[in-house]
Amino acid sequence: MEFLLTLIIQIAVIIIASRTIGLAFRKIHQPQVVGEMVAGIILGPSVLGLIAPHLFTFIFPPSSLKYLSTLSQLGLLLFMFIVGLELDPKLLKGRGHAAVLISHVSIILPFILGTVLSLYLYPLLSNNSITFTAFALFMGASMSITAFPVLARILSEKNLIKTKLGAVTIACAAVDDVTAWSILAIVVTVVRASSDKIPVWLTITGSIVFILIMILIVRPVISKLEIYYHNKGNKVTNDILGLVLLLMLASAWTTEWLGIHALFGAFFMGAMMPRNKYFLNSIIEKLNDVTIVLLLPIFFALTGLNTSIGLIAGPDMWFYFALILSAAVIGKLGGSTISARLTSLSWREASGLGILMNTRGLMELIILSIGLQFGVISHALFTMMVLMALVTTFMTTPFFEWVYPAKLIRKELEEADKEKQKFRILIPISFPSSGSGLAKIAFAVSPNHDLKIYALHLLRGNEISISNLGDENTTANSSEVFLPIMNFAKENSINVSPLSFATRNAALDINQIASIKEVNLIIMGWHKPVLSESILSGTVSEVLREAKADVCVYLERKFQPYKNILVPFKEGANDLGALTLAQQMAIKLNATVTLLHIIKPKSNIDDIISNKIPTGPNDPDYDLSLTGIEEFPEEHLKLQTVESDSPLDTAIKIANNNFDLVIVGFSETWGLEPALFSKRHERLARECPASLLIFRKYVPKK
Amino acid sequence: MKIILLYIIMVGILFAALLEILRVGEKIKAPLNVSGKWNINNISYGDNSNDCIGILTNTKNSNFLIDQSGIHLTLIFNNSAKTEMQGKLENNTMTFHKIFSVTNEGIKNCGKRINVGLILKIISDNEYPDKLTGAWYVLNCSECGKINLSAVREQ
Repeated sequence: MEFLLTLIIQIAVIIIASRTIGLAFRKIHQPQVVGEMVAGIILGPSVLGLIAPHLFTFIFPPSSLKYLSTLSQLGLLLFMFIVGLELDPKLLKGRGHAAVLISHVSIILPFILGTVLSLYLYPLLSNNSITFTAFALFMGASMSITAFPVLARILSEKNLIKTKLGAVTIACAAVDDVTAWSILAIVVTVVRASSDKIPVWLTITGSIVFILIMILIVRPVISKLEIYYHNKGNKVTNDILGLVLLLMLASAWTTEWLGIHALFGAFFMGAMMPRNKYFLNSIIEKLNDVTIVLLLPIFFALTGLNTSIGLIAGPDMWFYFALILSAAVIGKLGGSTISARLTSLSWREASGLGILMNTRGLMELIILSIGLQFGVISHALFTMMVLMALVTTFMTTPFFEWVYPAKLIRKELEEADKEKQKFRILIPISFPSSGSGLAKIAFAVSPNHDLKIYALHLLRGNEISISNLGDENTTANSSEVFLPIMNFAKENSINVSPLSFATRNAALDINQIASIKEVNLIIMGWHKPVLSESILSGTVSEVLREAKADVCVYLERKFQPYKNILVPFKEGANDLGALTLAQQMAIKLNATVTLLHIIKPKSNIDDIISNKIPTGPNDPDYDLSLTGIEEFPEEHLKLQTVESDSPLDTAIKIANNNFDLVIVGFSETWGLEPALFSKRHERLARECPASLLIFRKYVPKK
Repeated sequence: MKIILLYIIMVGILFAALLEILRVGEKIKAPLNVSGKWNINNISYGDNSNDCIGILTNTKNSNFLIDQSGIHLTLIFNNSAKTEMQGKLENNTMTFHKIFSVTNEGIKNCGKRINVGLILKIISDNEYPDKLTGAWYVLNCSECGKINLSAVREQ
């Protein structure tokens, strides 16, 4: 049992070193992980072995390292599983194209530089047991990695997540993660092909079959875990955790057996787990502590034990290190900065992104340990690469603060807040002619404070993509579709951002853009679906049902400016919203609004209105204010009360009395909500001679 | 369109460059792999050599480890002091140098610091060499003779 005594001492020493040095690094505004990496090196032959060789041999006798190595491998499996769990495809929403471009260039450029450098380093730092392809691919992969967890932590600490830079960087790092691990899987396959007994064809076909099984069979099956989790009262029980760990181990075993590394299996299983935020967070919470505090420091210590700075002896070895560091920084920082600049970020933002993407941290150490394990890199090269990882991670915070001082971040956050205070309207535009009409409505219905319009032109699948979200002010401007709305915006000093991209599902994209841009209102034009005569069907219907913002559908029959507006009013949030819109328009356009209040025969208006006032929090209309009516300027309002059993007939009849515009809530009362086989459906839309504005209020689900 | 064009240009060109680099690199020759444990199977001492540098071989089962990083080598003797020497591999020859401080009176006419060299020649001509021959010598002392040795690689 002597090994157990040694192991306990080793773990205790590792925890003490990693916690104290990690905390010391936090004091100097460095990520704790940098301190933990340094702690590993201090415990190794470079420092402890040099100043106290006997103590070093006592604590870390060579024969005991296999136990530490086993624990460290377990830690890495859990860590990669957590990285997979934290993979969030939503990060890419709305910035996918730009993120993919920046990320891929920021991977492939350092990758290329790594391979170019290999032409020089291969005859100097490798030997004939490793092929050039394996050496060069590995050098490339290890140059191109980004430490997503460190990067996310820096962004969060600097409160940058909510800025444009933070959002783009985190999306890029997410793409980077997946791409870099995929590349590494290929590299490992190539490396193992030349040394292992596992045939390449088995690795490649096995990997493809494994991925297909994971996506097509395992993912749908394990999605049932979410149901089980709900049934257990939204708690990750020990049974669930045990099952999840078993799945992770099975996946890791399979990828190891196939000849790619066990870490890929762990990562992949993490990515396949149900994407329920609470479920994932519960698992991460359970695994994180023991992984971060106990197992990863052991990995850092082992890395440190394999790192012997003494191996970089002589000026030529330090010259190689300088070359490696330069290639890593120029490739990653330079590649990310240039590609980010080309996708419309400013130089400052682009270089900030480049500096952040240059963080390598723990991820680099994981790759290096794989390289050392397979014998692709020697101990001396391993040491140089570890130092490169340390330097690039260490330089991130000071360089970033230099490019992006705290004062500037504060200013950007204030501007972002200011931007959020604007009244934001999304206008999907199909044809150039519809743009200015919708913009006029947007201008008229917006409250008096700042207005921001997002003009969205979606191209169907068979058309060619012309722009992207990240490029709000440049390319799309040239499109003819936007010309009328841009001219109107210029005349009225309205801030309009044109957006355009190809779509497979227009409604889904409109709803997603509305959520990303946090718009207050979506205004859509009349849209006639191909297979239906119905107005409120297809894309419009889907947006009306699913959008997390208020929605207006506009049918232009008479031309603006409108002076005579009718608002049929009966009940509900949508009717009240329609009235509020009418109030805005009346003030902006100096128009008269006729409030047609339809009541049951023999009732009077006061009774009805008093019944409408919410009675308390349980009332579904509690959060709907009636101030719209109370504060409606008298000079713009005419009240017309009609007793009727058929509100729709009455509304259509009165709408025929020379009104320019009818604003109506989206409800069954007005025959607008879909009703199968109903003849009343959309009668108002068909029979009303005036222009029509249909309003649907978004009420968040409680 | 701009993004897609940029993507094709930037990623496409770089990918083509990568393939070209790999093609060129396959023609480059790397140094022979000499890393690992080598057992000394034959040793012969020249004049006074045991007095001068016999300490390097004063164990029963003399062997040494070579840690290789390309042409850069670190040799660790399995003696009581675990003596380390840095060296280089050029073609089929490894050369190492180290300056030792002598703790006793020193060797006659040589002073207290001796500059020890070690030359090892690979004598097997396969891709995975398994036989070496060579000699230790003292550069700054003509009084000390060579220690000749041969070694085989532990499989």
